[in-house]
Amino acid sequence: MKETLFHGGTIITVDESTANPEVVVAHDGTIKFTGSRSEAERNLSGAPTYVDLDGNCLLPGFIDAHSHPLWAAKTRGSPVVDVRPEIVPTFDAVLAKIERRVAVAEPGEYLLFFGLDTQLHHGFKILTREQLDSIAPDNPLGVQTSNCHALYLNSAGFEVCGIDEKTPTPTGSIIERSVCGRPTGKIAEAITWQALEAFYEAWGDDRLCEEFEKCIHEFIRNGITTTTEHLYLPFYKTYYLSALKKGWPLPRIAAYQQAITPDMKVEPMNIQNDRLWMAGVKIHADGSPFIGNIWLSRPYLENQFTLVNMNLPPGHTGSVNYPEEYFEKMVRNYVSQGWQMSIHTQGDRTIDMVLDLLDQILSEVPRLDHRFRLEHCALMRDDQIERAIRMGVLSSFFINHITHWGAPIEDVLFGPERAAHYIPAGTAAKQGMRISLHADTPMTDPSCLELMQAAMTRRANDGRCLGPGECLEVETALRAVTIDAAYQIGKEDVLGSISPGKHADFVVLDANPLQTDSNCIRDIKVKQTWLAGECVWTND
Amino acid sequence: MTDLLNCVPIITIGGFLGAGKTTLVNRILAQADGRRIVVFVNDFGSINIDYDLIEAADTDRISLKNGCVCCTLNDDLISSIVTFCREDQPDTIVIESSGVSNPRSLDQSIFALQSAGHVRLYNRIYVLDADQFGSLGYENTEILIDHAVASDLVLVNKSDLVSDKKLRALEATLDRSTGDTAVCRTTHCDVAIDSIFESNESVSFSCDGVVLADVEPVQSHRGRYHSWSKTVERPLRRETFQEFLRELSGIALRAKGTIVFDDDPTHLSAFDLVGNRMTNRTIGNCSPQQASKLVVIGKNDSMNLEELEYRFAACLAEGTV
Ligand SMILES: Nc1nc2c(ncn2[C@@H]2O[C@H](COP(=O)(O)OP(=O)(O)OP(=O)(O)O)[C@@H](O)[C@H]2O)c(=O)[nH]1
Ligand SMILES: [Mg+2]
Ligand SMILES: [Zn+2]
Ligand SMILES: [Zn+2]
Repeated sequence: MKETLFHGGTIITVDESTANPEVVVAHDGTIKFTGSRSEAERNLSGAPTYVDLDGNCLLPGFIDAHSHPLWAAKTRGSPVVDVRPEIVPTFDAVLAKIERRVAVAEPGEYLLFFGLDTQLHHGFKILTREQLDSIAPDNPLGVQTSNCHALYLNSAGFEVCGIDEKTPTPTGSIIERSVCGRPTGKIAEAITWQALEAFYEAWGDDRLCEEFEKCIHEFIRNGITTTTEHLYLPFYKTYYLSALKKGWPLPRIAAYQQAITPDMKVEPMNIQNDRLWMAGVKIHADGSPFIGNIWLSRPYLENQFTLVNMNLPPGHTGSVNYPEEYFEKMVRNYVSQGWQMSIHTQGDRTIDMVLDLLDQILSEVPRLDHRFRLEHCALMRDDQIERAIRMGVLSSFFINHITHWGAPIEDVLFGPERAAHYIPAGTAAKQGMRISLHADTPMTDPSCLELMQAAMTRRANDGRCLGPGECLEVETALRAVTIDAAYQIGKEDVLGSISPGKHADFVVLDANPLQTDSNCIRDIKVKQTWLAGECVWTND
Repeated sequence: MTDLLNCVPIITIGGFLGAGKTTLVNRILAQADGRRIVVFVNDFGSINIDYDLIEAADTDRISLKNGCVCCTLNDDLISSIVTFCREDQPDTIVIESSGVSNPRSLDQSIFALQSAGHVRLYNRIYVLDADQFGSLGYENTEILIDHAVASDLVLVNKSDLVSDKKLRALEATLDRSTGDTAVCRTTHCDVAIDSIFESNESVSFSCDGVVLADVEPVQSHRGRYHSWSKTVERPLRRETFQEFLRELSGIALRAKGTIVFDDDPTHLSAFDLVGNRMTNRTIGNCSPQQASKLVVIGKNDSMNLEELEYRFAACLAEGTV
């Protein structure tokens, strides 16, 4: 039996009933006691290990409510070349980097680049199959956009992915084609992720395992002890089991299986006491605001950027991914199996459609505690927030859109008025929704402190603030990455706060986020990460 | 809000092993013109050779050794800068980071200091060794370019050693790869200090909400590079030591040191090995008791430390004190 007593620092429990304890005792991976030191010591069963917090701050382990750790290892792990605008600043620099990589490629070597960004790569032009063919005539080559939703392929790339003029476009996906049906370079949505598997397979499993281990480390060193695998597919399980078997400090994973047809098998599971469980089913109702495939009640702005770079028609209001009946069939099927639904929704009309459908289903078969989730919620309207709250529907906000893409969102995509309420986490929280925040890794990097700061300041990377009215209070932001995130993944009884009976997952920070300037939250250092009562990472 | 202009400006100097960072620091110091400049110098090895070579008063040069300011020594750097700003505020702070550091992670720390109102990030200079560029393999070359892009000014240094054609090709590569970064050809980092101090006079970096790229995990360069350091209080045999260095040039990325030879025990000489290129110079008089110091840095898969130790032992002069 292993007992650990934490003392000597500020302890933020995120649980009013246990607020400001002097010590915390963990016993065999579970929190046993919070309160005064003398009382703790009277009740110890043996000699515990004392952990002196040394003036640092102990909090419940962070929870990022929507992410893709294994998929991130696939999409961004080596040998994928990182061309995100943070690293490669212009479109021409991206091309130069691709050319340099092709110049040293082995014959037939599979080449992938991640992070092309229509909004942030200066001088962006639409990539064509011909252009990529002239750069790489002999190697399968793909360039994935930073929003993950689209992929540009050369001819050899199309060939290894098995996509040609005869390939029907799967429901819910996009293949851009010439008049005669020949794919012209760009594909989007679910077919993108299937096509990429051809590249990942060619690189083999050793590569994937190595990159997966690195990716796990990124979560753990940021104090994230629980996250999700949205877009989970049944064959992922092997990798997770092997990570657990190897003793890697895998954060707890709430799996949300990706559904693209109504008839997929979803296996209920809970492995090793909440290390990996099936939480629900994820469906993409629409796509990405940065591509234009989201459904809006008011059109995109019209400018050089949207009309030329993004190639959108004037007055574009987008659309949903699936025909409505098909989508309805999917949702009905998985709801009838009792799953929690997690639905990717960005445009407000998409949200209308999803709420209408859920309302309909719930009126037919009432379900009290369904915790249906809407993911990202870029352009959710105030009336939709009210309605969602009434229905018990929850939003998980992809707040890093503001930090990373705040400038183009306001200036070229939607204008100041919509930008001020883009990702309306503040309104949702004020109205009483238990919200969560997420980094959607691999789209942005895992850090719950960054999420908190983004939600509290709503500052874009050029310093501007998008909608001060939507900023969160620090307590709300903290709850959104701890207890309220636990609630959204259905584990508030065992995760998300420092309360007796819960898993002993903690993060030790070198400053108290509740007393830190909102512009400096992300500079707080993670000193230690504890998972199930074990210290799995320390920054010494 | 603190007034940024009252904060101490920081100039960071990055660049791969042996690119010319210390040379640039000394250039800046030589042109200080009354400004009090405090230099933080970071050497990856356990002996800080650069500290001895930096021409500043002891109180104005701070040694950070046996690690890297962008990761393992980050906390030391931060606390030491904060102390300086509180107690003994200089006109300017210059940081020479280790030749393996990632400028983006150093930026992160400085932005944090800036948010806290201690300093302002003023100019990020990246020194690129034009001679070595291209000979380090695809991956290292990409790292150099990625790092150069993250700076405000790139010095294409050692331009005396390469053809005009290569220089133009290199500049074209940089030109395509960078956004707003200025590029300048130099020999021995011969930039006018004004261009460093004035280039950013009107710009103040806003770090509010700056999106920082993810940086390599902390362990990464500890795992990628090895360093071997040695201090001996016995003179070295010139011939054997030269032979030792010639062999090193195949395996080490960088070696440097200050050496006393047995045939001339009253002079201290400095040597530099960058890639395959060796240079020697006498740096002054010394007593026969003066210790010799050297540091060798290489990729961990190509350097055998035991072998180095053994080879080096053969360089020690017999029978001398
Ligand atoms: N020929 C030539 N040599 C140069 C030039 N600039 C620097 N050097 C030499 O290159 C060697 C390394 O220079 P340093 O300034 O020590 O390089 P550094 O970047 O500080 O090296 P580390 O700190 O060890 O990474 C020295 O021998 C310098 O004299 C140049 O422009 N031309
Ligand atoms: Mg140096
Ligand atoms: Zn996602
Ligand atoms: Zn470092």
